[in-house]
Amino acid sequence: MSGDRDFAGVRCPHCASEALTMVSLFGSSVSEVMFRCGQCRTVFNWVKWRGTLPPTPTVPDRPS
Amino acid sequence: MTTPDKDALGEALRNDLLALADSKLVLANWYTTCVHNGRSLPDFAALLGMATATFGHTRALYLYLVNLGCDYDGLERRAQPAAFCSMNLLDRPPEDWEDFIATVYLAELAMWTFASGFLGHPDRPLAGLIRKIGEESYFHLKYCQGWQSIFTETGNRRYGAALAARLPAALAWFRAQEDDLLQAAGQRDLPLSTLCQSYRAEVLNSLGGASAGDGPPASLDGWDPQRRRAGTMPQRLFEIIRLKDPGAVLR
Repeated sequence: MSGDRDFAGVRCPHCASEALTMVSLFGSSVSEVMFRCGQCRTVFNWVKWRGTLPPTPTVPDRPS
Repeated sequence: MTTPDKDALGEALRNDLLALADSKLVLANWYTTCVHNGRSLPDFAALLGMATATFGHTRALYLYLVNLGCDYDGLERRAQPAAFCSMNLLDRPPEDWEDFIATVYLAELAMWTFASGFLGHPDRPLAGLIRKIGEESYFHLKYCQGWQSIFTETGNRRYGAALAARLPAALAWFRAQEDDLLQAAGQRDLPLSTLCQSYRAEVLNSLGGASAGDGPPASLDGWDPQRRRAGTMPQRLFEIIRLKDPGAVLR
């Protein structure tokens, strides 16, 4: 999905299209984002957590 | 500065985590109370999802606090508003949708910035819990940023005004005692003053320079450093967040 680095590389599970529209940032459960495929019109949920944190003050030597 | 004793450190950590947990309890109730103001089905899903996650953060923090000598049932069943330690920012209900989004954004970011000070805590379960909270908060903030974009695109000035009006109360939450015991003992990664500066910069950056300033500082009359708030939680808010008596039916 272009234009949003959080969803880079997401593809439709049915037709593999990357022409997706985000329907809802919270899908059928808290852990999912809901997308609609622009090619085959499938609506699907995608597990969103990839370990990204909000803006965090920099600390030297913080464990990653 | 003298080396703080173990009891003082434990109390300081307990106070800060309870302030975080109680603030999340109130924020979760903001989400559930305001869900019917959502503008679309995705708003409903988002508000309920964020409520679920935020109640979960509260529960996880309460459970961790058991390690620090707290009684879990006692935390859940506190019967007086004076016993709660939620941030003053969330005392006053939202005036409109823009104020709701502004307040939620300020609260989510404040709680995350505050919590991030424990990412390097020597107790790894706590550090891991904080990291997990951060992963979830990331998407709560993303939701707010989506609305911020809409407000910007539509020239909505009310949002910026609401944010500026609420910011002093959010900044006050970071107020530190003269000695930050936890930071001095290596239990907080950065001084609270640094976290506060980082927070303020992030908020102002989110406005893209459109802010008129912070507004006057929040009143600190009656400030209780242990509970990280001034005064007592309003009774009306307490009636919303408190667990109801067995058999009670809400109408």
